[in-house]
Amino acid sequence: KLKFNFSIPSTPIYAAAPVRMVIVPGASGVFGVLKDHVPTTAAMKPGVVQIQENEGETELKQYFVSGGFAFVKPDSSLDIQAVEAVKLEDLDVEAVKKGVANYSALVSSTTDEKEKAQAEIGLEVYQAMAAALNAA
Amino acid sequence: ASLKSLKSRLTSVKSIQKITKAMKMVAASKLRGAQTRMEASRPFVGSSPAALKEALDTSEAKSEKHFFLPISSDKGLCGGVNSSVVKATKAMVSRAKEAGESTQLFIVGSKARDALVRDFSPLLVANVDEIYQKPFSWAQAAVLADQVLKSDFDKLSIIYNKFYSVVRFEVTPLHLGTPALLAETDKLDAYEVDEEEDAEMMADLFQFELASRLFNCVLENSTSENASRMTAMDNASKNAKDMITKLQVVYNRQRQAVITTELNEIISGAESL
Amino acid sequence: MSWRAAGITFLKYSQLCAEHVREALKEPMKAKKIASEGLHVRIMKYEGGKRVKTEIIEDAATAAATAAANK
Repeated sequence: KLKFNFSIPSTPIYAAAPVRMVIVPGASGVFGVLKDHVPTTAAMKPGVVQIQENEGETELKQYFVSGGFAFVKPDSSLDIQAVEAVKLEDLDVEAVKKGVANYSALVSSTTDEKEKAQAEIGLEVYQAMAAALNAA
Repeated sequence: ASLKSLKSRLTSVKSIQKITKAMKMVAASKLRGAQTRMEASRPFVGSSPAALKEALDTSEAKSEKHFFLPISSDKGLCGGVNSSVVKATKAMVSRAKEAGESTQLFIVGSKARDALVRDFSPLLVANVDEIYQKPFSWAQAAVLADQVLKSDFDKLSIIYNKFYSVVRFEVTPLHLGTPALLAETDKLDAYEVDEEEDAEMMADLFQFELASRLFNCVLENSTSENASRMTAMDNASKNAKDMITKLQVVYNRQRQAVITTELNEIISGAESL
Repeated sequence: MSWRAAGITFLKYSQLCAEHVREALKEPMKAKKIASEGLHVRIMKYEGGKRVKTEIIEDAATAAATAAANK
């Protein structure tokens, strides 16, 4: 099995847990990690980390991460460092919908470059959360 | 001393003891909080690949532009936690100067600033405080890292108290390099990265790692601070207790003497009638 | 990814992303998270041995809490 470490700065979520597979929201594409995966360093974009703890499990554990890094190490372990990670079911669907609407409006109405860029970050995160919740 | 002045000293030592006891209780509770947060943060900081840590380690490396970052608290009465960081910083900066390195200083916490500003103010780039009012967060560490990265340096030395136990913490320097090291190193060759964004990702990874290390160092230092304050206040309470016992003995003796004198006077007065 | 062009650092970007995720949580998880991830830093910049600038960086939730406490 894969040795899985998953933590945010304030707390560990998985600590050296044996799991079958983890799906990582890589910045340049979502990828799955099984044991004996080639050592990899990947940045993560806002998205869902999915964990299949045992073979044949269809209900994957799902966490929404805000970003961070994932390291597949040579000893068949996967370490995920996320800035924030929450259970997908803990996200408020209505708040997410509102966020998408608010930040879409803000992006189109803002002209200042820096403020616009900040609004685009908001929109990126809220759209990713909306996508994750619709898929769930 | 007169009976009256003894009495007032006794009262004041008793009230000091009340204060130090209360401070000890507060420090103990803050220590529990800080230690829990620090221990919960260790898996996060510890999970970076060993190869990355090795690539960034500059303990043995020479430097031309040396950046020092001592970490201290904003509040005092915590034993030698801050003074030992200040002492180590002074020694390290002096050694760097002797070696011909140009030096810069970035101070976390107001206590090290107060102690270092007189001798080292020309080196000072920035001082950061008010970070302990709430539980120290990664967001705060990220702000510190961003500030540090505004300066130009080739070696960063973070000086902080590493926490081992409630009675043991040691001033420890952590020497880190710059993103340039990650571009040059062959230690990360075993790891595959997305080639197009390689350089950009390495720069981001460095920032992330720096913020995480700072996060850990500040938590280690503030856990040490609270442990040290708890011990200092416990000692102060014990000293106050000893003093109260001694003063009480002196007071009782003196009071007895006064009563004896008064009795003698009454008796001799009665005899003379 | 125009945030880089706009001068936003990767760490600032990461922090903003994390704040958005916390904002979208259901209660009581939201209040708990936001309270434990507060951001308040005072930065004093020095040049040539003199303090030249003081700046406070804080998140919206902490700023609001401070303003309410000072009322």
